[in-house]
Amino acid sequence: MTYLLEARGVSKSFGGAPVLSDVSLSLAAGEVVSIIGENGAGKSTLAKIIAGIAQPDSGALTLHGSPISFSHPREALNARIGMVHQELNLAENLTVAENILLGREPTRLGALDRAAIASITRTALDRLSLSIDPNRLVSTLSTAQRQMIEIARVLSFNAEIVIFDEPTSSLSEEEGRGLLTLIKRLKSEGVAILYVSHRLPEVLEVSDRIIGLRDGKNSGEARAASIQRDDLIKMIVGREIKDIYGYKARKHGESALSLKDFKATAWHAPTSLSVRRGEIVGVAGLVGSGRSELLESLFGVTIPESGSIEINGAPADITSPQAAWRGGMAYVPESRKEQGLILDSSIRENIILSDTRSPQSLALRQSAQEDIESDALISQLGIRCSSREQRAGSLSGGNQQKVVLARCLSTKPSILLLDEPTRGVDVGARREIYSLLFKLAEAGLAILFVSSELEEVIGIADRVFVMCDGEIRGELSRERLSEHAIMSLASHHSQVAA
Amino acid sequence: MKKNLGLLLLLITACVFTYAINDRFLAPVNIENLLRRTALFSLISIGASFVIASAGIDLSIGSMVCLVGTLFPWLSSTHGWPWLPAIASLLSLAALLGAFHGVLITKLKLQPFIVTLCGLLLYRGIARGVTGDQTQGFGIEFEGLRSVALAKLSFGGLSPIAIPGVVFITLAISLLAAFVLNRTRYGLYLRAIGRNEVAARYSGIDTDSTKVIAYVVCSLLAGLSGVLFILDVNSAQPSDFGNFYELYAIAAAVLGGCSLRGGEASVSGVIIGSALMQVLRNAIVLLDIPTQLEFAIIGGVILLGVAAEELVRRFPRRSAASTRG
Repeated sequence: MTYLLEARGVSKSFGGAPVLSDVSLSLAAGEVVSIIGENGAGKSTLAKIIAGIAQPDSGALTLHGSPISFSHPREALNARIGMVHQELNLAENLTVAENILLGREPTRLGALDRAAIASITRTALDRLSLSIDPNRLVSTLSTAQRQMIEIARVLSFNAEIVIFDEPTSSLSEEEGRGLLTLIKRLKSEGVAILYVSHRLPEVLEVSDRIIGLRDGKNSGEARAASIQRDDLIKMIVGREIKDIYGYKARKHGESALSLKDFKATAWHAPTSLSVRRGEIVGVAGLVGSGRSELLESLFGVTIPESGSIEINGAPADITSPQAAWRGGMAYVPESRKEQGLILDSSIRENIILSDTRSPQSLALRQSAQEDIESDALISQLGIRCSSREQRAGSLSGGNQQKVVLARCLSTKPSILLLDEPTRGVDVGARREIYSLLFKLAEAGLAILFVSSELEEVIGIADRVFVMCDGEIRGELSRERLSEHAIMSLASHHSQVAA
Repeated sequence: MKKNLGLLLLLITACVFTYAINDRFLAPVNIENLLRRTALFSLISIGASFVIASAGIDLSIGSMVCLVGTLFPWLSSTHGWPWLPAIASLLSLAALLGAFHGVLITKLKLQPFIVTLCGLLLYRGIARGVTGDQTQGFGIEFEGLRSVALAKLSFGGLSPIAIPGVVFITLAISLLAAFVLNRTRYGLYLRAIGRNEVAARYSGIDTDSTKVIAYVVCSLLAGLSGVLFILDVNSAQPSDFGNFYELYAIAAAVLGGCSLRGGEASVSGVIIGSALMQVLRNAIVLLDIPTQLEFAIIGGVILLGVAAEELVRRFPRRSAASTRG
């Protein structure tokens, strides 16, 4: 079999730290090859090298058997290799058409050729059966639609190879399934796909071949049809993990948080629910069902429309995040980089940032105490770092998430809210986060979390509320939890294929 | 301090270079002059660095200097106010205007650039209107007060040069500012807001009042330096007193390591930055360079300094910013 693309002995290091060493990979036309591995294993770097965004220190790439080397992503695109980024790379203030043709707008006599722009864009959108108006601003599109525009842009270069970097990480389950269907269609049209992900079910579903990376080295390769999930995990972490959740039943105490006729926004239906001490309660639903908005207004980020909140049996007036922290709540927001972390600050400064004293600003800082407190939390949560002074932005996704959690624990809260607690977190760190949540619940913390990953919801929740269109459609006890039960409550028409 | 090493070297180089060509640079009267001007400009630059640390900007500093600096003699000499109530009410006015900037920026969500640009136009316009655009000064009054601000202390001859009184005022305020930035949670919050305001808010920081306080500090220091500037020069034209001072303040803050993207502030760096600019202005006079070139030279050196700083900073960062997947 002749391969379309081959990489041999690719090595790359950043500032002396090797990220890839002697990695090889091959990809044939019409084949879907997945690269799996923990965060920091070098998956994205390998993808970026193939897409011309990063340059290897050594090693060879060949395309159609002849050597290639790109110094710019544009050269890769011209060689018909395109990448769809995890954090989408579109100019929000431009239209769909302008984004698709960015940097190569057809001109006639020096002026933009509007007719040609319209026809190229139309063709690109039609290929994906998208009915989006080419003149719409990208900022008005949903995440899933933006991803489609980026795919359309890559395909409009007649790409033979399309690289997807964690494409489903910001999509709902439903949208994710749509994307997998699209990938299968591209494959049938002869496009070669390189699929970078750490979501094993979708990797198993979509790939022909799976390549594992661990610590920047090849850690295995298998045909998707002949490998089991546990073997994949072994390929990723180098050991066998049977059950990454390890759920055990706990005793629950008094109600810690209770909502009465709580309306997060005018659009939401009034919600009443309660979470007891020691209980882990999940909120499931599709993206856009209003789950994150519920948590945000509960935490005072937005002002709720109406209703009341009780914390430990006493009415609480939460009008700002500051009031929420003082009331004994802590919050891991949905977007780690935008809402959770101060990336340019040290781990220590991030951990000690939340303070429930009043007035906060006048308080003097006691550096010795800050050091002791942050070191204690760094070791309690197993944050892997060179020191507490390391820049938070230079940590891997899992360790960044642990820093956000450490900040939450620093205020000794009685209620912990989490929105997508393990998004962009590798399997190893996920397991640590789950076991931490169990330990916290065991110690009497009330935990309310939102997650789009059904497996996670089923894996850790004692009880689950399912939301759809801003309304709680049902409550499922642990015994009744299943993907089917959640999806049938979460979908708009109460019917979904099993 | 380590961060400001490059800037300090640039300052020393400028001093040595100027002295090598004209040894009057180290004459006591010249040093006194440099110290006094550095102290005055450091005050407004420290104020600017608070606002810049919060990822904001204040363009109204020069007009605030003008407003307070011309209304002070107008109130006291023309209208016979005693100096203490005059200064107290003008500083309260400055603080109030700063709070006004802050509230417009945080509550009405206006852009800092626009709000303070309007301040720049407003306050100079008001100063010119109120004073009838007439030159303001104390004449021979307030000798006592002027000598408090300008008194030169030589510590009974122990110090070879007489140190102007304003140096001690600036020193005290610098220590206070450094303490607030480094040792109180306010400083932590200000930097956190400059780096990521959304995350700071989610962490429970009262971002709005933290920012309002930064604008109050900036306007208050501009007002205070307005008082000291007018005591120094004793005569001010409302149409050009304090002109471009906001740009000197912002330039000194940026030279001193404050990124306009926010999140960084260093009082010592800001003082060295102010000193560098005063040495440059001084050098232009001492080296017989046509004064018309003053702006061009200062602009060129600032650009050089900032570019060099960025290049130096990029070396360690490139190795640290390994984006791994």
